[in-house]
Amino acid sequence: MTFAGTNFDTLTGRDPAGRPASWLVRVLEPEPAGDSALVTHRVKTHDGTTLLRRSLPLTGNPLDASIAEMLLDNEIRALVRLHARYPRPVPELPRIVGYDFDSSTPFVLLEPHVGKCLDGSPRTLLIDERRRFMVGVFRALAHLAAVDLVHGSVGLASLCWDGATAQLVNLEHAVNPGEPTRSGLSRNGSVAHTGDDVRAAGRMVYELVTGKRVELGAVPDLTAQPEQLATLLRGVFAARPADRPTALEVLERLNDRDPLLPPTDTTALMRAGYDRFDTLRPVKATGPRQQQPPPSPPVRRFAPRPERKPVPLLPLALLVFLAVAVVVALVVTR
Amino acid sequence: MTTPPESTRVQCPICLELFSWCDDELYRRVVDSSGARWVRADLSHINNPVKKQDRRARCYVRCPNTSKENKEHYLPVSYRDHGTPVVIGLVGRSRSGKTHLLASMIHEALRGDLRHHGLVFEPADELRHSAFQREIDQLMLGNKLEATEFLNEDVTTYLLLRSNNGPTRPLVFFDVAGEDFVTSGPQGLGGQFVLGATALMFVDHPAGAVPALHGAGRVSTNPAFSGALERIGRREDARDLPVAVVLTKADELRYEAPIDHWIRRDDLREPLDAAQFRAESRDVYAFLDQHEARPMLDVFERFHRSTLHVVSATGAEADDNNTFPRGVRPARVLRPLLALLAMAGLVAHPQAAEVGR
Repeated sequence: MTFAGTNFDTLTGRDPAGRPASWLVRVLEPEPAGDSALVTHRVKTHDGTTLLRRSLPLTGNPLDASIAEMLLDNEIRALVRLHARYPRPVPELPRIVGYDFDSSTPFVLLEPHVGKCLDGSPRTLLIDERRRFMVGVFRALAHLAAVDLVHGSVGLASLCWDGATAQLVNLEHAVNPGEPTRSGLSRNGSVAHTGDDVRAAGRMVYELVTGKRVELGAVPDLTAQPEQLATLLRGVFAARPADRPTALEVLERLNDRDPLLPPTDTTALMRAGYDRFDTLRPVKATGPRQQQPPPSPPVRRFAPRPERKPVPLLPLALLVFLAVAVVVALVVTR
Repeated sequence: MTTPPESTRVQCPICLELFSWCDDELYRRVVDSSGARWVRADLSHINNPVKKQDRRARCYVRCPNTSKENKEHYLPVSYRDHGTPVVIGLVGRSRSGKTHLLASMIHEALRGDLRHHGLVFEPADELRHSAFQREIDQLMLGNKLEATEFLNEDVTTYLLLRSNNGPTRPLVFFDVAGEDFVTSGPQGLGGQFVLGATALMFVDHPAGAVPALHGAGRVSTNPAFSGALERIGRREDARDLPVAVVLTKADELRYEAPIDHWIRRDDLREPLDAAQFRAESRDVYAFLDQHEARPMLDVFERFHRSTLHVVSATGAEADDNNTFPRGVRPARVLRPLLALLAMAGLVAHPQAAEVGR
């Protein structure tokens, strides 16, 4: 619906908390979105704010339409969860403004990505930039894993970069660890694992540093690479996802000391209910095979790390001076 | 006069009276220029046994309606052909989504979506099912269904369940208006099916069950549940009834953990696993407990065997034109039915005995 007397259309949907919301927007231009199957447009709201609108592509093929819907649903789900679990924005991940998934034209509104999105082709980064870029990618993955999300399509085509911060975007393939990938592209029964994101990121890092392409599923020979790279990527290409390092471990290898944002622990609010249920319906010790309900995949919960404060040099020097003076005095007095 | 043996006595699902089943006197429904009426069916002139069986299958037996509380009513002749019928009723407030759930559920069941569990369904009551099939067709065309008629006494649909490893059983479904559980009419007929049901599905939607979730600051109450539970309490076997407690319209909660996981889960083709029913019940219980959805939890706790589910009969909310603009996309609508059938002993699988315990 066009707002009377203006060029703004009304978008009706929900805010990230699920409450009804609407926006007056004017569509500007298409925004490059890497290899995303969704359509991205830059839009301007009536108060001058610029946002991104992601929506379904026009297609006459019902199967393609159904897959695109699933992708948009995945993305909204992941973004809503990030919003709910991180009280402060995670710079390395996109931020939702609103969404609609009920109408004939569903959409998700986002804050603009940082910098420019890479087009998927290998880029040459300065040495200084490389580390910041890699740290950004693995920080994004660590923040996703902490709220039980697997990105599912990590690659240069899903990254934006402003020279200081890398942002992992296009969450359209994101699912929970242990869930089947819902892209509609894979029907091999495999389930998502955070280790798959780490492997995909490792592949990207390898290509970025060496300039050599790694085919999907191939394992590059790290023994032929400089020790720094081999150490960084050690175990990243392990066959079993569980054997790969976590994003946190890779961040430690990158010597990243900035604390990660701790997510809100929403399960704590449900703990009393889980306990009551377990009392009502205890798991049977005998009888037909019974298993504990699948718990949320293990995720490292982080507390904010204390920042490392520089050791004050003047008091230290004074202390050393006093110690030496005492020793000298003792020697002289003998 | 001698009393017929117990095996020929039947409890009518509509008036709940016991009567001696006698299919010597058959009826069929005739609709012509003078209207619709029941007439005696005379099959004596048909000597082809196959044809006779076919014609008989379309006939009905008149319930003697001994209490005279209900209107005249008829049951399909096959009602007594396959053992004691299984009566499944839906309980829930008005606009909780009972009718949409039943329509989506029966649509998928008739499509054969439970065949992996050895369960195949077929309509067995041409009259009642054709009316219900029209509802299903409307929904599948993307149109919202009308509210259920107040004080409807009749069965909604009647199916035959053909199990791969067990006997064929008749399945009777009841869906009545939510108001019937609160104000059951001068003779108490509204929602009285709960007095004779084999298994029950208690249904509520997020706006009613978890009103506080989106800022509607009131505590959840459910007069329809209370009314039904009060009547069920008069049954000696009340606590042993298999019960599925279903949060409908869960598409509205599709981005709320842990609902977001279950509503997307597509596990109908996986082998029956009681642990999965328990895992879903556990998550939904904790979610409802967090949001103080006491009426749904009370129902779950009251029965010895019960499960909790999240479903979406349509996949999205209807628009202002009462249509579903991107079509109807049901999610997990067969899980509560599968749970009830397992708890009622109709699923031939070792895990079935553990469902809901």
